[in-house]
Amino acid sequence: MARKLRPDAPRVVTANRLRDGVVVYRTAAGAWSPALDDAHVVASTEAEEGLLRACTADVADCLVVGLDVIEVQIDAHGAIAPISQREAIRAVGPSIALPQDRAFAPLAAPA
Amino acid sequence: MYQYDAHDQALVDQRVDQFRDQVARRLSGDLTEDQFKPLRLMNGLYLQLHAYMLRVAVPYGTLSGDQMRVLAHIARRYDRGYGHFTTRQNIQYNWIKLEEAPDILADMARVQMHAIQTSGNCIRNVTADPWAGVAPDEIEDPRVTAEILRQWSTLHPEFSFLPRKFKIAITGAPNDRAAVKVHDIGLRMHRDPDSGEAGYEVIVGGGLGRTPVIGKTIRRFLPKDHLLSYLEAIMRVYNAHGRRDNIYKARIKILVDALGIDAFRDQVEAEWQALKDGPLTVPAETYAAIRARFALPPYDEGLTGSVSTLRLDEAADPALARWIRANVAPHRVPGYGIVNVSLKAPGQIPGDATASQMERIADLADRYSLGEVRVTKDQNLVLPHVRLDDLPALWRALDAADLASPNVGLVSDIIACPGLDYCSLANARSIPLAQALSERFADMARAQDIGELHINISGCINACAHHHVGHIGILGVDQKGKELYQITLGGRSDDNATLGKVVGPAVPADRAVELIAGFVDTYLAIRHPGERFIDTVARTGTAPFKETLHAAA
Amino acid sequence: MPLLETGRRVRDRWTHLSDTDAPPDEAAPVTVSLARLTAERDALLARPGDLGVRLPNAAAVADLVGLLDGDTNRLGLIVLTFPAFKDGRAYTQARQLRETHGYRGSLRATGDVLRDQFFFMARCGIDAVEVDLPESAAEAAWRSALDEVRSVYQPAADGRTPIDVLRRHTAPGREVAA
Repeated sequence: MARKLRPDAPRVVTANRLRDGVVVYRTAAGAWSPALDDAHVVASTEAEEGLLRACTADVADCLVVGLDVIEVQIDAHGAIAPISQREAIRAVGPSIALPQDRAFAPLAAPA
Repeated sequence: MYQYDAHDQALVDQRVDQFRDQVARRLSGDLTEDQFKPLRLMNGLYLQLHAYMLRVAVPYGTLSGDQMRVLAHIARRYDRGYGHFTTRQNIQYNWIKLEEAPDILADMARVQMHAIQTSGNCIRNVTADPWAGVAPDEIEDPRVTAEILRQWSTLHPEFSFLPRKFKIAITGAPNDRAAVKVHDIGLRMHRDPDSGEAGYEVIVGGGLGRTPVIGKTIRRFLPKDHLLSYLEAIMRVYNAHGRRDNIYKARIKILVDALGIDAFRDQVEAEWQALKDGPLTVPAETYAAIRARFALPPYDEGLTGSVSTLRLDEAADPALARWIRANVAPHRVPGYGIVNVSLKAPGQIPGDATASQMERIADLADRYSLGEVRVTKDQNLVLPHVRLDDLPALWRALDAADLASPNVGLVSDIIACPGLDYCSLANARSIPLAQALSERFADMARAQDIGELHINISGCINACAHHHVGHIGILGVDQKGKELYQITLGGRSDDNATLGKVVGPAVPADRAVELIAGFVDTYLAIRHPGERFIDTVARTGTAPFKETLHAAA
Repeated sequence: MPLLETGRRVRDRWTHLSDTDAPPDEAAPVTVSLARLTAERDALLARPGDLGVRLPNAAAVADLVGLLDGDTNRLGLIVLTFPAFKDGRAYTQARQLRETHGYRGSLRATGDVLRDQFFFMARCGIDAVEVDLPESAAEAAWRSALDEVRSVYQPAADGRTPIDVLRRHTAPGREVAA
């Protein structure tokens, strides 16, 4: 679990989808979305506890695992971004270019 | 390479079915995550930052061409077209779906592969010298022993819930290429000075991680028939007495240190008396039977010469000559060489290979290397049986697949864990720094002038990239949200295994690149003729390098 | 909680005494803590009723064996403890009792005993488990758990023939059933 947040820090609930491991965020409608911008942001300890309570059924029903609360910031355009580097990488993927599988010319016949 | 018999195959097939049932029970809710986690870990399945990660065992780093093709198939069918070869001679996939994991295991089982015990608090995949069976300095092929250990440790009824993970490494040669002194148990084959019989020096309690320790010899000479009974005695003492109250103090090295090696040895000896000469005795016929299953197609006869005496035409093909000098090692059979394939092209992610690269390696293994490939703890590959006259053709084929970087063992052959880009334990990223350093040292002619130099980068204290034993070791740390790198000098994992010493405070990545470039310049300025980087550090200590630190500040 | 003995659901015939309880009668089979066995050894061994001990997983089997003058079969039941399923010390105790000290009585696993650990327990010589499963599911769970992996490499306490021994006694080329 993340360390304790400031009482009024904006925060969202995240988890991994059980069947495929995909990173997901809790939405206001009570669903799970792979997009952080869909997340329901709350900004108090009480609201966080309520949000987590609402999620526990989905843990019990094997929809998600690894429930966590992470601190976020919201820019002028309403885009949500995590505070920590770890969560930023979780949200958008590795910071590096991933290897691209490209086919090679067939091997020449042996001499 | 070892060929399964019907028994080996039956066990792996049964294990696939068992795991398929466990996954189904998890998805249906019969198992909680707490109950399921150790079960999936015992099949190498982690939940990482972005998805599930599957670690597939490559026992003692040996693969056939057909197995490599299946690894490529898995990368393409179930992942994102690539895989990562690890410092424990395994391969990891980063984008796995839990619901597909049983199918992946079934695909692997068809080519005699599995993910058994690649994680969890059990005996992990046994690692060995990647040049096993072909190195000229070898006493015996350590893979026969490693396979016996693989079988003994697989689903071991007593040792599947140990205090912590347990890693065993074995080298069959006096030159240790398996880092046996930094494993929970290290085995070094040697001959009894009196009888001439081959056996093992047994080293215990080594390890890296949070508390790096060089292992201690618990037994100078263990005859081969006692291998399993003696190791079972060590494991039993550890299982009974290893700490379980603190995960950071649970490895065997802490127990050995707390008791002292002599008291620990006494306990092992007492336990061994109950086990010695019992059903765990390994008769010579078992060694012979396992060795027979490693049978290779025959080498071509009548060849002569060695790579060390090969005449290289520098003028005609300088790049080929450079590659042979850096990447091809002497083979015990005349006319053959050991070809090391670098997975460290400048800017490449260390240890990553695409599915097409894996297939290319598989095809080249079948054509030029008696169908065999090895994985090294330095995250490279090896084609172990290549005719010297095939080297030019092989080199061209590797080069066409970005696999011919002439830098094995050199400064740009950087060892790096996945770090914070993938790993849920990491505190800092490893890969971007490895890429920056390998690009900084991309001049291969200069890299050859610098000579042997191992840079190891770990993204956290768990030390998957063995930074403590890197000639230059780098540990990523998170200091109040800042990603910084702590540098050590003088570590090594060979026969003179030593832990590196910290130089200076932790620095940001760009500064780390500048400092390391400065350390290399210092070495070039003060080295004696024939002295490697590590020899210079051993001779001078870190003082001259610390001056670099201040000068560059 | 259901008690299974070699996979069959049974009623527990043993009375598990606290360190102060008196036995119900002289003939009743009772278990006591290791501490009580140590303190009241002579009186407990002199009773006509069967005696068992509850062995903490940190206890040294050699100490228990010493207390019994080397004869573990003076006990009819040894209760092993798994405080958490990840704590595997009792596997070693089980094999030491069975294989090193020739114990033939019942070995019972208690605590965090899960279906997916039955296989390892049975291989170590544990023949009874107190298991947190619904009554109806317990027997089936035991049977199927022991049946999942049928090929074993290690000699252990369950009498299964290890693969290496099978190989040495199987004519080359003869297939085995999977």
